[in-house]
Amino acid sequence: MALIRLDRASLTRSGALTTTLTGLTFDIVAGDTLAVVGGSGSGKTTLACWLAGWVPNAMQARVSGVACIDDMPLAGQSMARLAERVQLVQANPYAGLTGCAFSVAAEVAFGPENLGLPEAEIRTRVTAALELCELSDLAERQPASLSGGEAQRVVLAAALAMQPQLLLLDEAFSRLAPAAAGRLLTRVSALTKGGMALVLFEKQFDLAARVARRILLLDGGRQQLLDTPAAAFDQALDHVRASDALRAAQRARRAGRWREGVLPPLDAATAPARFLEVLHG
Amino acid sequence: MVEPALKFESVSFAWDAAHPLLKGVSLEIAPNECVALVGRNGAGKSTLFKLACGLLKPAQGRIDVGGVDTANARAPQLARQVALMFQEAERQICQDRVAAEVGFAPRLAGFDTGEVGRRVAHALEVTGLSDRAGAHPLDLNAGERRLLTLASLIAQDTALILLDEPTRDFDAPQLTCFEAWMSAAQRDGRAMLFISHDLDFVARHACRVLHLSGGDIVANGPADEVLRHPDLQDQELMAAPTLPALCQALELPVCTHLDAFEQQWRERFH
Repeated sequence: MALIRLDRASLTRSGALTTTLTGLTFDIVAGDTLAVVGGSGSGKTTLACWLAGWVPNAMQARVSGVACIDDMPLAGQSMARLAERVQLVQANPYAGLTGCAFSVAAEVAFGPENLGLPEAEIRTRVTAALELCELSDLAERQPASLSGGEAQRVVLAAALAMQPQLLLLDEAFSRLAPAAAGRLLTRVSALTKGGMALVLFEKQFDLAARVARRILLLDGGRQQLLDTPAAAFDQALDHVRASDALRAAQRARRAGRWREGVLPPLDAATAPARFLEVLHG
Repeated sequence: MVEPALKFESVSFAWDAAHPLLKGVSLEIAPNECVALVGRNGAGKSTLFKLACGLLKPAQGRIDVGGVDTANARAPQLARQVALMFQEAERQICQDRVAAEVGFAPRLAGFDTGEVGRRVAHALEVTGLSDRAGAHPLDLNAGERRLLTLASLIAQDTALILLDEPTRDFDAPQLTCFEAWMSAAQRDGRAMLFISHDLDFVARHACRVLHLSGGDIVANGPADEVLRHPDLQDQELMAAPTLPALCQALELPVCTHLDAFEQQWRERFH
């Protein structure tokens, strides 16, 4: 059974004259990794908020079609109950901090404490989340004193400590240095082996393609394609950022200077091999 | 000798006295230089920017912006010399309409309505936001909001521009627009210092890269040398900047711009 199922699902924000998201159709199963990519204003953040149940439950909107979690409509779900299963990390980390914790460790413990878990379990979860996000040295720091990249790691750790079934990351690596972003993404992605479903909302193709099984391209709130990263490559790069190595491959393919049957590179590391394949077969 | 646009002399700063963040940093940016500042998360890059524009004062040392000592300067004096794009656009915006936001600095600087209007119109045109002039800044998408903060900098019209992770919120077309402005600003001879984790972007624009680590500038030189440091690289991926690395793998002359690569690839492909 699909954890998330959308079928011809549309959403209109309160006060808006036109739909923000139109006719979306896709499933997410346990252990899945999907990347929703698209340009600025394409509807990624609205979709993230919808899957997290923030819209329409906390922010008003009209919805039509099917949008279910475990076959129950997302609309009308209790926000508190949904937070036990679904966690959303947004791009601006300062918006994700509670503002009522005086240390990073207390911030990360906030969610599990509100689940009413035993203290030992809370401590175990907090320690694991801090380690995964490379925050052990910052455990006693005041959250308000963190840099952008540090705050982003704390907000991610807070979401992970909830051990969600579905983790939604809306440009959640945007403030991290490349080395840290790569390490964290690999570790978070490994959690899908335990059944957690992961959805990335990205404007950076390399990051999305690195772990996603499928890419959903949004443009103007409409689903332009849902396919493997390789099949989505050419069209997606018109909308989102990519490393120069990938951009070079897209230009070569578009200009007809690419051998038929050679797949596009999905990260900069594989780009040389693909270009050489084009030259030498 | 030409006066530097920005000069740090042995600058120290600490949020928490037990853990000083900057320990005697010295640096200079010449009036026509475009320089990148890189480093790990929490290295103090954004704090260095706040010092550079006078929002923070150094605990020790001296900071000159266009010949003005930030420790003694008043805010209006500094605002004529240096503009800062904050890391978070939402923390910078203080007006409820796009046009008012862009006109904020020129109005405070005392320009008449006509000049403010001209500056606002020009800045909105460059950033492609002319038809959003009447919108509320928080109704813009993240990329547009970032372009709005750029428009405010353009209207402020300073010799030194500080950009804290300017490209993060852009999609592909917005990045193209931003880079076109950046190249033009470089040609105009403006001094620019920018923080970025996008090493391809750094290689395309920085004539020099400063690496901030452990409270001091540990490297200062061309992008291809400074960016090699393992702290800055994603070890699981190809070395960044990616285009020079791709050129080397294909035994093509090293370049940092896609147009140059495209031409070389065209010749190689045939």
